[in-house]
Amino acid sequence: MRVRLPQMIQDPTLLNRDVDRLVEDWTMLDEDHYLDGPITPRVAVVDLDPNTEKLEAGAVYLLPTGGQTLSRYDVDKNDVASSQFIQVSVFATVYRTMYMFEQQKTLGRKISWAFNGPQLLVVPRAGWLANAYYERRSHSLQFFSFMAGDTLVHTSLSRDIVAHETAHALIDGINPDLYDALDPQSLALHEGVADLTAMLMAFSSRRLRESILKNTQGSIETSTDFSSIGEQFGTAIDPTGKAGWLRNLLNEDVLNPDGDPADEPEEHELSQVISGVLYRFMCVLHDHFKKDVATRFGQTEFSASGRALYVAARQFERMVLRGLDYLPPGEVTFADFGRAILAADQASYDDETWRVWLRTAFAQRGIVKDERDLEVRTNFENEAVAKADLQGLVGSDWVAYTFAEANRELLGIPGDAQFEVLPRVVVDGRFESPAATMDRVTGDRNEAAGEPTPQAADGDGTGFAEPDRGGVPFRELLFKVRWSHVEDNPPDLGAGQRRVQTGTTLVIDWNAKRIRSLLGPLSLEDRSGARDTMLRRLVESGAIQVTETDPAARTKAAATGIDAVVTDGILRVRNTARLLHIVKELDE
Amino acid sequence: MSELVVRVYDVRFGDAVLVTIPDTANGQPVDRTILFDFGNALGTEGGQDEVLEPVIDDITARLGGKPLDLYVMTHEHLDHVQGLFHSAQVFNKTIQVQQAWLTGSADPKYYDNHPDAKKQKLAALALYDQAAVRLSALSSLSPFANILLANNDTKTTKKCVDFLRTQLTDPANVHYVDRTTELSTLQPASSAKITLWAPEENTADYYGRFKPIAKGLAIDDTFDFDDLDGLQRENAELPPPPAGVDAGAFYNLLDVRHGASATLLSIDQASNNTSVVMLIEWQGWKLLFAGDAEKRSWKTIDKLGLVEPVHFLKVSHHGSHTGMPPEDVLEKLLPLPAPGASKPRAAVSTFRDTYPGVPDEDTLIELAKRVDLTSTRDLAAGELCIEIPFSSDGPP
Repeated sequence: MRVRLPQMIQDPTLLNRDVDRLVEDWTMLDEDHYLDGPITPRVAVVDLDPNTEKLEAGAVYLLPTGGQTLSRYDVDKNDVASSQFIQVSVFATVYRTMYMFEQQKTLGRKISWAFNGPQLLVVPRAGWLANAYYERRSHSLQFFSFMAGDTLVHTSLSRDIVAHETAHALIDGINPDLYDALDPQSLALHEGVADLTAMLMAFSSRRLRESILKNTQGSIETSTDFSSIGEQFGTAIDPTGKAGWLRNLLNEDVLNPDGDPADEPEEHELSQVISGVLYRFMCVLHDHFKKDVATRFGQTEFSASGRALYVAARQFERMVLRGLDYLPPGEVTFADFGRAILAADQASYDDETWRVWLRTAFAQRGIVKDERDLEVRTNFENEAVAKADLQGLVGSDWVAYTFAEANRELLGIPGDAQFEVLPRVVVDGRFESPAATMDRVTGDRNEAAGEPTPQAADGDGTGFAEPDRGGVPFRELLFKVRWSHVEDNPPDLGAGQRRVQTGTTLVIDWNAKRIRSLLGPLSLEDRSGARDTMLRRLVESGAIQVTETDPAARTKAAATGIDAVVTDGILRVRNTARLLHIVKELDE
Repeated sequence: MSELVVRVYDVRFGDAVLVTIPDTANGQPVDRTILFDFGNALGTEGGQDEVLEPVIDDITARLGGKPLDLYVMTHEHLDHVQGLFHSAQVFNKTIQVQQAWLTGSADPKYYDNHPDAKKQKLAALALYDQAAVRLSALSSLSPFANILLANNDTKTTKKCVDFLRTQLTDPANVHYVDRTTELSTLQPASSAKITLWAPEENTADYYGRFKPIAKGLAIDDTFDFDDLDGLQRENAELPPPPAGVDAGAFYNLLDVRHGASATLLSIDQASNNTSVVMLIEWQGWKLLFAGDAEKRSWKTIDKLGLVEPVHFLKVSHHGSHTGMPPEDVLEKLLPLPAPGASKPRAAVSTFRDTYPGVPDEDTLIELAKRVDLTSTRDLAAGELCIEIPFSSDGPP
């Protein structure tokens, strides 16, 4: 049973627009079942009254009646301040973000959460702060509310913020080590991809897309509506822009490839480098497909801009988000992410055009010294892989461990290292070339900006809710091994040594039984200075207190939720990603 | 002329600070005395009231039969107000007081003149009731929650504050003060000059976070303190998980959120920020008594351009992190001394492990870089107070 959900596509309290234009219906694919809340087996909206912790009644689920085919929730979409609207809207945005990652042409599977449980809890009115965050410990997304002057702002009604925080939960499910990383580039990657996810969510809204493209003559480079993440929210919090939410993806930020990693900026500022280069990639894709669509349909580029944006966004998702799967476990850098994006694409598509562009752009931004650092090997034979029992690798920890032990050299596992094989993941995806995507949307005329936009048959015409169509099916196995790397630690920071995580991701083509990709970190040891800097900043700011007590045994957690524990003279830091979600209290 | 002496008493978790100022009257030397607060926090290990009796005895002895010149109630928290009430009730011991200064918002008429502050205070009180009910449902209450509940219980505190305003002295000599109060006719010592840095006249500044809560609870202009009893009390039972949500995950979420404790902490901080912050200038010395002012108050004080270097600080809020001025303000108040230079003095009244993070060890370490810091918890057995003299020769 599919369900129609109203979703806020822009915060009415922060934009001077009619409410009617700010709400959009979205038609979800089937989940196993729906309950009042909304609640499904994977997501539950838990609406706790911020003042009393009393549980508010959830929006009531209604089966279709009178010839309707879609179920719905009992909500008045003209009353956007009602608790029922907030519950349903945040639920829709969370799911819409999940589907963006999970569609067959992207990650091709349902994402398992990083915490031990099947259900992400969403608290839409978590309290009175200018804040919102994903918290692994409580299995939750928490969206707070605050006063901007005399206006009550619910962060759960901000499409940007909900998509951003949901992305953190999804990235944590895909690559949980980023949550504990000490390399600021790892945390910046978490943040940058979350920002790009918010951008993709903006593209997914037909109304917003059309409205903005009309105002920008079909360009995504001349308006900050797509490229500024949380702009309205940030302005409401702090007009000076110091609150940390104002990030413009349309930037030319660079790294110094010859600089000392210890001198790199903190993770929020750093994130703009990776999101900046990838937003520029999105712009280039859009320009390319505008010309393509215009030629194909005999339109002006302006008229072609809406459909082109749809095609470009699909191309972007399948390249960039699939890179998350190919990343090695543990501490990683932007260069590692670049290599993962390129490997995922190169393993599936022959056309070098966009990979050449990315390699050049990554080098120009100083992410790597040389484009050749981003060259990756894909689709190659290996005897051990050819002989491997893939079903056994998936289903049996013992088989997986035996395989890894026998192939330490292949996987880059140091001879003396104790390693861990992470849960294996099977991806059932579909390859689809940009040309095929173009063909698929040929008849979907409501994608073009500037044209009349009748409702599509499924009621939304966004392209995200539709079942995956087209493309060539494939199956791949993600096999990841992780081990500890012990390195020197500044002695004044709690211990003489510290432990960080690293590893290798082996991607196996299930049908051909060959290696699609084999990636470890490019420069783990060279990055220790950056980790020193990060650790020093955490200690000196009071964000962590190094202890010799297991956090589980403490009567209270560290205020920031970041743990730093010394065991046998070696420091281990965890939960550093908590830094990404802490915005100052308004009234401290 | 003899020395000005600051005595910070060990009252476990609370405050009692006696300042003796050499002065002259009719050409004769006299001592003027000011007592900042007297109390400790009940309901916790820090709240053993037997420690109050030796303190009231010592203060009485030092007064030498003369009345106290000024009693200052910095703010309405139990650990600052219940000592004199308790001494009268339990020990049958009282002191005479010439005049009392109570923080402005303790004036019974205060909220009639400040409707915005009133709505926010009502919201805070309503939240307190609900949090108290909610916390009482828990099988075990942390000492932290316990002390927050005790300290912010207005019913208990009200008795103590009423005692201070009606029993200490002639009610005509009780003054409700804020930064704008005209003090020229109220100065207790001709040799010293007293100015107030805080609180603000309108405490809505400190209760700002309760503005949306008041709105959410439908507290409007017609709502009054008596109406609080009419607000529906929330069910003390933990809510059951909604259908379709794993119970373990749901209760874990409630546990991690610490909603009720966070609410109490907000109320606690807002009340702390109503603290009287007083500067005493004498013979070139500048001594600052900060009550429990927290960062919000420090920011306002700084915004008003009042902050200047001082020679003594009664550390705010028992050495908590939130009681410390923000870093830039701290640098103005207690600049990092040059190597080898003499440091200003500071004293902190604190008791180990009553509040989590109070005192905050890192805060004390940071302070010790800037001041010669003494803590009541470092007093030897039998020592009643920290005693810090200031010479009539003035600062070096």
